[in-house]
Amino acid sequence: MIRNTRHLSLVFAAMFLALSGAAFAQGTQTEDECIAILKSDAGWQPKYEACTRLRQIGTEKSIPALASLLHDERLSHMARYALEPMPYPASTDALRKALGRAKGLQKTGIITSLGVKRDAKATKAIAKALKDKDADVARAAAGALGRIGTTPATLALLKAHKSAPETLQHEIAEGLLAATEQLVADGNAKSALPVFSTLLDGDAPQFIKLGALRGLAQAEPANAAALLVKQLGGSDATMRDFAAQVAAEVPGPEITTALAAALPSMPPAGQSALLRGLGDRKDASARPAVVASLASGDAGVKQAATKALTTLGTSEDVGALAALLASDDAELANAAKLTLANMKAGGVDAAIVAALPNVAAAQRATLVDMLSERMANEAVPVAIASLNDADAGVRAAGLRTLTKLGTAAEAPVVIATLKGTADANERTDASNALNAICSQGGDTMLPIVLEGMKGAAPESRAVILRSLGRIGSAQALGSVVSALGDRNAEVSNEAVRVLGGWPTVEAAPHLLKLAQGSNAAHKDAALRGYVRLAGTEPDAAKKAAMLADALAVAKKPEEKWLVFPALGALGTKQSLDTLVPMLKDPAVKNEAATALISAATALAKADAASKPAAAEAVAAVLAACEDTAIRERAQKTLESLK
Amino acid sequence: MKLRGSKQTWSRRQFLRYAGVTAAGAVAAPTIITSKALGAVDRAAASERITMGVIGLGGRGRHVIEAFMANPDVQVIAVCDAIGDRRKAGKAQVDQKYGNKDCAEHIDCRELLARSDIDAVLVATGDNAHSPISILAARAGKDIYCEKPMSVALTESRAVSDTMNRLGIIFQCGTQRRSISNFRYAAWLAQSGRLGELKELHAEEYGDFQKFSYEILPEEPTPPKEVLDWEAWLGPAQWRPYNKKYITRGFWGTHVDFSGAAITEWGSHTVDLCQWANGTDDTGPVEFWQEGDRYCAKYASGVKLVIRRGLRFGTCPVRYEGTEGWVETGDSGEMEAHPKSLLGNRGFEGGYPADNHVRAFLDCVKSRQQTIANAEVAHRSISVCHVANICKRLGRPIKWDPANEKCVGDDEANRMLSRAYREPWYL
Repeated sequence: MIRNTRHLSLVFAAMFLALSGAAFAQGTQTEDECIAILKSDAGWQPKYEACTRLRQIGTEKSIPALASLLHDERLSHMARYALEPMPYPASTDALRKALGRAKGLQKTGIITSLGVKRDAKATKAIAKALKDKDADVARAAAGALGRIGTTPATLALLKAHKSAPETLQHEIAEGLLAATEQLVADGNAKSALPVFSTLLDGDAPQFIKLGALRGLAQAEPANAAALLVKQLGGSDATMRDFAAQVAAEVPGPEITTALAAALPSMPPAGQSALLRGLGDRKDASARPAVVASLASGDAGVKQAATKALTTLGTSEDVGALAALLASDDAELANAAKLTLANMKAGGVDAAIVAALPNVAAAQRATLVDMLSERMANEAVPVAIASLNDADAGVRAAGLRTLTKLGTAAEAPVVIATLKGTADANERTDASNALNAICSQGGDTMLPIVLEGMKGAAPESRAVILRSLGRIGSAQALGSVVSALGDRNAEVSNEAVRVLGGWPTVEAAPHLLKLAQGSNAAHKDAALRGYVRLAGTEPDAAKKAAMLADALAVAKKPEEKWLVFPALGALGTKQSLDTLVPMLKDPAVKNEAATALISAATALAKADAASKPAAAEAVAAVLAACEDTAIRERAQKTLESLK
Repeated sequence: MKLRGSKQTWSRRQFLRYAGVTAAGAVAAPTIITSKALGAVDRAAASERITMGVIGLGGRGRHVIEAFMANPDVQVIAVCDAIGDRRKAGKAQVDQKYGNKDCAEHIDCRELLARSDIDAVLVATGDNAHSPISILAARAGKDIYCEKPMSVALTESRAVSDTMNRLGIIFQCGTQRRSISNFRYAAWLAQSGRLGELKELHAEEYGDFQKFSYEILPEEPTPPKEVLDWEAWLGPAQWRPYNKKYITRGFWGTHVDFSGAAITEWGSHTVDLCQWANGTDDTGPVEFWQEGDRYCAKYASGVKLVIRRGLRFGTCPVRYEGTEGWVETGDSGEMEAHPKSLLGNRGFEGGYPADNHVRAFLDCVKSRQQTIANAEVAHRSISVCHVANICKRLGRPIKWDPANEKCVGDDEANRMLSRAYREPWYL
């Protein structure tokens, strides 16, 4: 009801602002203006926006106006939206008062808000709602009582737990767990413990029992170890695994001591689970028990102990883990590898280096890899030393490390390995390492690589030449071009391949020249490389010119076919002009037609004004080709261009 | 496979073949982390499969379904979406995968959650419904993989975390970059001290979605429920009449009633990655303020977090700076570091696939271990985004108490931490 003209002007002003934009969001409305709207006959939207604003700025003054909406079908929620976060007791009183005659959805909402506010005074009324015929009301009541979390609220939930219908049991159980959690937080663990036990030992669904187990362990740390040991020793695998998770969570060194002491007497499945929990617990005092478990006769226990050393192990455990790398049990060996890669304790890197002479070649190779994986300072020196190992696997591990971590400083030794080996695999590994180093080092690597090529056998020289492509600079390009004239065919052929894969368009003129030459092997590789580089040219006109040059060089049909897809993808007027004459050549006209259709489509899409030119090119396809599939595609394209 | 909550037994015969992932917060060296390598590749027996329901079948949901269905020990048996076209497309996708017509459709997620033959759910709805549906799912005893951002208001995800802790539920937030090699490696560099003492963390926010929307759109005729269940789509958000524009990603993604806009859109990933790298998965900064177009925060340790734009390397990039070096990476897979030796000659593939993250979740469903992006971790990350958003919306600095999760001396800001749920939704 609008009682006076001042009120009226407030309402109109506020409504105007509300309807004209995000006035409320921008924070321009005063509390009085919002209250006036709530009291007026305004529609839902101005009231909605007034509630939104009052949520932020409303004081006790706005509570009566908001409370008057709590039974409104459309605006009850918005009233709660404002009232729920208010810090004033009067906002809670208003909600509690409104609960009495609320029904259905509004009742659900009010109960929920009272729960959020932890209104102990509403416990009785909410408890009554646990029996409401409306299932949503009853569920909300269970949730609210859980949040309120007082002894009366807990008792109300316990009472309902015994008699509630099955459809409500999960919510009541969850409410009970929430309430007991609150009791513990409020220092009343004594009242909470029987509730947790009731849920744990009763016939509640398993996820509730798991929650009760965690709650009980957290509420009563003094008995947590015994409780967990019991579950870990049981036959319920899910409960056992969850107990292991809880074992990782419950704080206190005495828990670690008790759990570690119980470890040897548990069945293997329990030991495995507990070892995982001890590992996640990260309390170093459990390490002796974990190390002792490495000697277990059970494969699962050994594996779990190995994994637990990821967090608990020290440098003293590296020898034992290195020995496990040789295990016939592949999963155990893999677990040892993972642990060695991820152990965080100090001194582990040095311990791995110390273990190298004491293990067989296969494990030595793994340890070299693990140093690399750990990015240990020792990784590169060990890798260099391993290049002299008698075992090829260890040498390969050294080269893998240098592939990952090598720098210009290590390049000479990699080149020396490459030049000195007769093993093709080792040469490939060394080549990979050199390429990786050159990719990172750029031009600084050029003198090292050129020096390395001196005196190298042709097959090594050819391999080293590849690394110039990774450097990719103008100077490196010059060196590759020089190698084109190498007397050895293996080297000159490799130079063409390197040019064909060159990372920048600067290699294009050299490739075009080769493509125009008479060496058939060079010509094909060069033309492919040239077309590939044309594809990387960002300027469309330059790209079209390059492709036209390529087409001029291509003599055989299969050479022309190489160029057509790139012209089709280019989709410019120039590409159409280059392709149309090709329709006259019976040996390539179908391939040219396919590219033309693609080019015409792309051109028309990019520039509507070019549609006539595109259509003309497609019409030329129809005039020249008999192939049914091509004609169908051309026809469709032509129609789309109209 | 049947999980808790029904009379069926949960068979675990082969489950130890799947090694659990490393404990929450741990960072393993990236090149040997894949749990797939340790798992079986054969199709699991029906009794040993994790049966799943999918709630929310927009682009993200339908993408992540594929990551789930690629696992031999998963069977998706039901889908749910308030939007009919999406629901039907989701069913068709699942049926095509399995070569049958068995996948059930539900409009109301509560129907799906009431099914005792479903072990776990993927929640991939709009942001607005992530938290309330996760809580409903937990109360139904389902394990949950929930897409990011975890919540629209801070107290929602606090409630999710508390509920997951209270019940024996496994929860993984879809912040999959925690399971992707370049981000793992960058976090490892920070956590292992290779960058020296951490000083600054940079988290990219989404370039779009910069302005918040508060708009109430004019009423349009509400479609039939089969086409669009408007009440279900609105979820716990404030009621308003239907308008088709609400359904568009670009609109609801900026609207304060449905999302946290630019900062939560990417911050749920990038701030999360910074929290992880900083070793603050269980807490948050202590103050927030604006610097130009950036939102900054400081941790009690003095480490500064910068939520910003302009980082390199594709979507969702992050940068960590320490006294000895820095690293920057993003979804392109490119990574730059100083000194260069921190990277060696390593390469990373890039992209943001959910495969490893999904597999890690499935392993935890079986082992009952905490996931790497569990509810508390994800809540703490999104909390940072929410408080930064409050700072942005109010236009003033915020002092934050991460232990009690309250703004210090700012009642107006505190009121923005929660939102009352529209009935019958409740926390």
